[in-house]
Amino acid sequence: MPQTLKIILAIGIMAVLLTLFFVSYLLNKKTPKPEGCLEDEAACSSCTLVSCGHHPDMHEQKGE
Amino acid sequence: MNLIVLAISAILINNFILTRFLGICPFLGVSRKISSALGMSLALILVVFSSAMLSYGFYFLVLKPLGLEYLYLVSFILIIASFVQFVEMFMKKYMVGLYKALGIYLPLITTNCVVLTVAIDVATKTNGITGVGFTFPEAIVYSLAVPVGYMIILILFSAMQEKLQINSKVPAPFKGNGIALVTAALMALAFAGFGGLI
Repeated sequence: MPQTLKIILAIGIMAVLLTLFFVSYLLNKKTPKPEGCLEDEAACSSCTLVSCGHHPDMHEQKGE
Repeated sequence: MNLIVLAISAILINNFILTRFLGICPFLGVSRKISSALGMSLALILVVFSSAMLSYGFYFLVLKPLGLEYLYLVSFILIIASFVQFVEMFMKKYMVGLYKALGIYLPLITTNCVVLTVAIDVATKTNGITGVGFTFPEAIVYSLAVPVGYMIILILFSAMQEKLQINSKVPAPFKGNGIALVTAALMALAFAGFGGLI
């Protein structure tokens, strides 16, 4: 297979995977959480991963 | 026989947490309660197995035939990240009960290095027994055995953590992550005893 074609294929594969990721991210973000589902703060109270988006400390940092 | 040896090796002898020091962040963070540890472990089994199978298929059906093996790392990261997003979305819509139990751990798992390492291992490394790459059945066994090993350690460790939190004899400088790491080191020493098993 010619080198140029390989490079085009590589770029194509990366473009497809990146598109797949962005589509999945947007679709997931648009999907509402089920009712009564996320009392995160109680569930996260014992977790020390403060960099996680669910963690109560993160919400305080964002000023929510 | 090789499959059994591979499973025992991945669960007890070459455990990811105790011998490769992978997934330490959730190991320390989500191990304060047994219920959290169990939820995290179950979500990890689902994600590790599925993403390893997807990555294995993508590597051998797309990247290798096209001679683009060097793209494996970026591809696997994107496959895992996309897969976790799809799983979370699917759970939100159709499996509300499961989402309530495991959904909170899914974003955490995306950044767990165990997931990426298992995907890389089954696709590009040798299996450590026959000295050649993983066959498909071996990849299935390995990608199930590694998170099961992770689950065993996480649950054992969280049981000890629950006791340590209420233990007033722990010296002040060791409280929290200090005593947790000492405990983890002792667990690693204990599990090193399984080294002669196979």
